[in-house]
This record gives sequence, C-alpha cells and structure tokens, in this order.
Amino acid sequence: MSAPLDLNALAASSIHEVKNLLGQLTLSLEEIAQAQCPGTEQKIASARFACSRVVDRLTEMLVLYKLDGGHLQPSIAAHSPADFLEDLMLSAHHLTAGRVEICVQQTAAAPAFWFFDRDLTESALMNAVHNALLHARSRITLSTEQSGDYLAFRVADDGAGYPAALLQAALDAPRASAQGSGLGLFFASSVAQAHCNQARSGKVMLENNPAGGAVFSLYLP
Amino acid sequence: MEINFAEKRVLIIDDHPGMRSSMRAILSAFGVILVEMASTANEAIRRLQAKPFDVIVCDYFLGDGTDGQQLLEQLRRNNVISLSTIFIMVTAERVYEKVVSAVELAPDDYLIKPFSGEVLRSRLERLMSKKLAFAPIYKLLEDGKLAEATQLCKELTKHNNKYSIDILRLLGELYVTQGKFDEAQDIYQQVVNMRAVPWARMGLATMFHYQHRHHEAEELLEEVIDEAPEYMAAYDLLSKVCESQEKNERAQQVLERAVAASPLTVHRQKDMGQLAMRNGDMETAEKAFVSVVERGKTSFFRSAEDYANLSRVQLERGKHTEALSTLRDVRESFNGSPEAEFTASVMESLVHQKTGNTAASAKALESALEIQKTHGLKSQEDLSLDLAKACFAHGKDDEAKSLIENLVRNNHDSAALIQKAKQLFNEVGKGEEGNAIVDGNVKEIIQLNNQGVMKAKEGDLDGSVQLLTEAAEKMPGNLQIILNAAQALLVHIDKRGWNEGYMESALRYINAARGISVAHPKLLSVNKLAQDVTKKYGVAA
Repeated sequence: MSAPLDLNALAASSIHEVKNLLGQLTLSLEEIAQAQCPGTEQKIASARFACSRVVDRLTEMLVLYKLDGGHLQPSIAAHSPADFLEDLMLSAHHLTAGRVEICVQQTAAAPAFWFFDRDLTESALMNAVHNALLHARSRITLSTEQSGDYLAFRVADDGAGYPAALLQAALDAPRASAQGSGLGLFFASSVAQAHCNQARSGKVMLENNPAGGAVFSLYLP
Repeated sequence: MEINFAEKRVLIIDDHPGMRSSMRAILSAFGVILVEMASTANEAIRRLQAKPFDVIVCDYFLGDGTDGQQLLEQLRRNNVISLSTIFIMVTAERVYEKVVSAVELAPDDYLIKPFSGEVLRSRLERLMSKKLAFAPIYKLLEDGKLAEATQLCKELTKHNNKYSIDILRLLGELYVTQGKFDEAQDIYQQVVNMRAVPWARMGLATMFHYQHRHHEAEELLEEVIDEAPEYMAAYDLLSKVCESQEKNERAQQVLERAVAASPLTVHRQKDMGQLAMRNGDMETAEKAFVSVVERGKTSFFRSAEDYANLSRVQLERGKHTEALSTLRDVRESFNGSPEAEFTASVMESLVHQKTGNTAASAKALESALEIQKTHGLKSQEDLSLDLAKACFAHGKDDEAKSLIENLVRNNHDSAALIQKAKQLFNEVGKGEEGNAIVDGNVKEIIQLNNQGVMKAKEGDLDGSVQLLTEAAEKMPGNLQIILNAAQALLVHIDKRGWNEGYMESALRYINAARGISVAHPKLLSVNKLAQDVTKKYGVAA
C-alpha cells in the first residue's frame, strides 16, 4: 500500500514550478523585446499579457490555497498609495504596447501613506486591470482616495460596463460565468477581507459609471 | 527626479548565472552600465569591501545555504555598506514578505519575480529620491553627530509625508543607540497605535526587555508569535527575556522551536549552544556548535570562539579525539592567527591533561601564555577561565589566581561569572580559598565604588575623580566602575568649571560602556548628565 496522494500539496508545488518557469519565460521575452525587431512589438505585448495573466492566476491559486489552510496573514506595512498606483500603471502599461491608454488620475484626497499588503493588493488590482484591458475601448483610469476610514483604489475602463448579473452577485465564492471562472473577483474579495484593522475589514465594490464603463473598487481599512 | 543611471555602480548578487545576466540586461535597458556580479555571499562581500556601490540587487535565495537577509544583516552590522547604499531584495516567493516585516534590518525595498524593467527603474528612482531626502541625517550619523541627527529626525516627524513611518523607525533606532529607551518606547507605541506592524511591536518588546519589564515583554512576544509563528526574531527576543529571569530551560525550548524552523541561522545556533551548555544538555550543545563551525567555514564572518565552544563541549563529553581535531581545524581555518593559536593552545592543554599526556599539556600551556604575553590578547571570559584551569593543572597557581582576579574585578556584578569562578576553584580543591579571593575582590570593588561616590557627596570632587579614574584604567571592562568614573568627571566639570580633558575622558568611558552593554540603566543617566553639562557650558557636543 502506498501512501495516499496529497493532491492539494502536489498541486501547490506544481503551481510553484510552473510559476517559476513562467518567470524565466517572461525574462526571455524581455530579451527578445530588447532586440527590437520591427513588427514584433504588438506580438510581444500580447505574449507578455498572456504570461502575466497566467502568472497572476497561479499566484492567486497559491494565495487562495494558503487562505484556505489559514496560513495567509497579510504583511502589513506603510506604503505611499500614489507610488503604488504608479507601479501598477507601469506594469499595466507594459502589457498593452499602446493599444489602450492607462493613466493615473491624481486626487487631492489620497493620503501620504497607508498600511496595507503591497503585493496582495497589487495582485488583486492587477486582476481588475486584466479585465479592464479585455473590455476597455481606449482608456483605463487608476485612482486612489481616502473614503471615510478606508483607502479606496479604483480601476475604471471605458468599455460596456459590468453585466447586471455580476453587479448583483455576491463575491463570497468563485462564480463561473460567460466572462470567466470568477476566480479573479473572488480572489480580490478574499484579499480585501484579509485586510483587517480594528474589527473593520476590506471589501470589493463593482459599479458602472453613469457616463459608461466599469468601475472596480477595492476598499482597505 | 532625473537620474543619470550611467554613473550608478550596481552589484547583482544571484547564484543563478541565467538570472544574473537577465538582471544585467534589464538594468542596461535603462542605462545602467557600471555593473558587477557576484554568485555567492562571500564574493559579494569581497567586491563590496573593494569599492563602494550605489545599488545592490540581491536574490533572497543564494543557494549555498545563506540567504540575502543574512547577507544584508552582516553587511550593515559590520559597516561594509553605508546607509546611503540602496539594497533591493529580489525573491521568487511571497515568503520573504513575512521575513522582512519583522526584521530589525530591512532592505530598502524588495521585488517579487517576475517584474518588468520599468517597475525596477521606477523603484530605483523612488529610492534614490528617498535617500536624498534622508541624506542630511545620514551625513550627521556618519560624522558621529548622533544628537543632531536625532534632533533633525524629530523635526521631520512633524511633517506628514510618505516618509513619515520610515522617519519614525529611524528615530526609534537612534533613541535605542543612545540608550533613551523611554523615548524609543514612545515612538514604537505611536506606530503600533496607528497599526500593529511587526517591527514596531518587536521594537516595543525590546524596550520592555531593556527596561527589565519582563512580564510585559513576554506577554507581547507571546502575542506576536501566536499571530505570526514565522517571525524568528520574536523567538530570539523571547528567549533572552526568559534568560534574564533565569528561566533557562524555557529559554532553550523557545530557541529550539526557532532553530527547527530556520536551522541555518548561525547566531541563533550559537545562543542555543551556550544555553544548552549552561543547562547541562551537552548533546544539544554539541549539535549546535558543530552547526555553527560548519556554517562558519564558508562564511566571511566567523570566529575562533566558535571552535573553542565546540572543543569545550567535546572535552566535556569525553570526545577527546574530536576535540583535538576541532582545534587543528581552528589553526588551519585562520592560518595560524595569534587568536586561533591561543584558542587552540588553551584548549589543547586541557584535552591533553585529561588524557594523561602531561608533557603535551604543559607545552600547550606554555605556548598559550607566551602568545598572550606577546600579543596582549584580550580573550573571551570562558577562554580565560579555561586558561586559569590549565594553569592550576600545572601548578601555576599564581598565574591562575591572577587571571581569575582580573576577570572578577572587571565583572564584579555578573552573577554568572562569579559562580563560574568559584566553581573553578572548587574543582581544583581550593574552594575555600577561592571563595575568599572572589568575594574579597568583589567586596573591594564595591568599597572602591562606594568610596568614590562618597567622596563626591562629601564635596571632595578631586578625590572622587582620582580614585574612580584610577580604578577605571585598571578595570576597563567593569561597567559600573567606568560609568561611575564618567559621572565623577562630569560632576567635577559641572561644579568646578569646564575641563576639556575631563570631558574627553568621560565621553571615552561612556563610549566604552556602550560597547559593553547598550542596555545598562546607569548608562542612560550618565549620558544625560554629559549632555546637560555640555549644554550648560555652551560647547557644541
């Protein structure tokens, strides 16, 4: 009799391995990009986008695996929300090769620093950016502001907006739909909830802009 | 901010050749040309000692058993890199996030792989702006102007900007270095009130520990460990807190948990070995010291003391051949430096004595005494006791007694040393005489201290200064004596007028005391007195 297979642990370690391989693949892509062969720019950008989505999806799986086992505690430190958004913009910009314009909207209402887990928050927002990239016509706007006791990060696009069913859906479990597995939203919501401050926890809000387009908001206490 | 990356010197540390060249390509894409690379921690240290770098990009996993965090701590503790050097940690996993949030010495930033060149460039630009903002403080610190640097930090905390938390953290550290534990505690509490970030809680617990508030320290650390069992630094501190309450068994258990989780950290294994030895758990002690010596072989920062510890426990366990082999190793490993020769000779003398090889033992002892005489070595407490033991074994009772007397006079308030000294006399059948010698010396020092303080109270300030500074010169390792001498000098200046030479000596004693123990309660008050006196005479500190 052999020991029973621990599929969960096996999956987790395979995900690690695949993720590292993708890391190497991404680096190779950068080296190809640096050769600046004419006409490859768009293709490299879409390859980057695909790699980035796969890496992010795998990262989410790993984080959710840890959340499930109760191993995940966010690593809270003070960061500048404005600097954070700038990095997010750079990463997003990297994926579009100019097809979609990505800008950070400066608001006076942003605090100088806030306590949050930079990497978890980045993964959650990157997911929203991926979605926005798929649906935006020409522009994605990132912004941050203090809203009461919360810091809000927003990702807005100028696409068709969220379908009504999604706007009403609860995000407490992944819900598959025509748009995808629903893992991304579930992940963002889990990250928000893992951020806890004095009995207040974070939340995700989905809205449609009256002027058009979807608005994803992540609130952190 | 416009940065000329072409003039920035960057060191890439990564054990993976492919990763090193990828990183170089990423950097060159935004104009970095002065790049050097290292594949191991030791190679990195050699390069950093050869010339200064502006930026270090280091992978967390270095393959040879060291990690980037250990390297960073060695570099900063040994002042191999300056405060203005940017250190960025690169990691493939999220695990490092956990490590970094609780460590005392954090890198300037860290990046999770894969990341784009633009993100690295943006982070570097931001860090360079930050170093620029902190430059005036760093300059003061490099010039040794601790008080001014603190003042400037304090000014900067009044403004709310993105560096606010970093300024508070630095201010906390500066207060700690100056022994201002109350002030440091306030800073850490202030941060914890905003958010209970691990490093601030660790800082708070450390201040409780320094102020001998054991119960509060213990409670806070249990809480931290309970919430985040991966914060290794919390175990180290909790173990020290237990030790200072003489709960040595519990201290060892706490460390054992940390060693099990992270077996490669040398300083923890060293503490563990020492604790286990004190607890009589020789098996654990040997295991710990073997690990320390093994790890030290590939490390730049290692000491002959590690080998002394290992051979001591091997001797204790009757493993004489192993002990001798450890001592051959120390000679080889340090190319026969006087310190290594001394260590080996002292311990060899004891091993040969034990195996009945009296002639070899006597020869080793002669050589140890000779090296100590020619090189004026200041040896570790335990090694001095071992030397005394060897002297007794060969009838050199006078040398032995004088060695022990010297140790006792320099550490008359250390209960642990007093006990060891008396035990040694007991072992050689001179228990009664030993007690008299040890107690006599302790009593003499206490009387000397009291006399000095009394003279000052009676208004004989000259007498007080003379008595205590003479004692301080004779016992430069005795914290109480040197601090009392500093105090006598300062009181003299305060009452009788400015005296440059006195001030110089007082500051020299204060610095020496800081080098022995930053947490001595008296250090704080004497330091404060020095500042007040300086201010009174309007002399720039």
